[in-house]
Amino acid sequence: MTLSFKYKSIKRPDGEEVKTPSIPVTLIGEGAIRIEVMALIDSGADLSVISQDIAELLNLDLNGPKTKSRGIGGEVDAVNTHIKINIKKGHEDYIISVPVQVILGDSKVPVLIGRAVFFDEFKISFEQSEERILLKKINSNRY
Amino acid sequence: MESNYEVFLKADFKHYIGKWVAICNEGIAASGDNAKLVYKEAQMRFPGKKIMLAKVPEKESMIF
Repeated sequence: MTLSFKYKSIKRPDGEEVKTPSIPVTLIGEGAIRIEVMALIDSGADLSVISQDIAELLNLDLNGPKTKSRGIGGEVDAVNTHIKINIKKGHEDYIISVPVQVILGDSKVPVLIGRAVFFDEFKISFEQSEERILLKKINSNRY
Repeated sequence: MESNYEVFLKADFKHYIGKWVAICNEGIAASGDNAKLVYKEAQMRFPGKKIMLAKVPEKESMIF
């Protein structure tokens, strides 16, 4: 089965419109804390990324070794850890454990789902003209 | 009853560009710059409701 999600169209005060390939997921942190978020599917990101305030909501341990996260705008401090991502629609219900980079400080980063692990678990199709994103589980192990 | 995702798809976010928004099945429950504070405020305003967080993208936003 294929999970299908519509692009979200956002109109701006100046009349311009932006459409984003985001999907509803539940992030699962320490102590099984669950936070439902809209996550942007980012095929250009090696890793999934969340901001520090989201990590704090998930009660993640941020005391691990600091690293640098590198993007087109430069470097920011980050901590590497793991979270679980629950994605479900209809009868499809999957939990995927993925590496995640927590951007430290007051970042403006949305929740990004990058390629590591997640893109190995799903065949992902961006159908720009249809304004939808399709995810098909590659192996059918359900959780 | 609509899911948070259905509310998200229908919501008009033009006044929330660049903000975090918390959504429950009654609409936009809270908004602001800090996801943690927005989530907590939404929980206080709508106790017992399921809350979903979303970051409204800025114009032509690129990450980092």
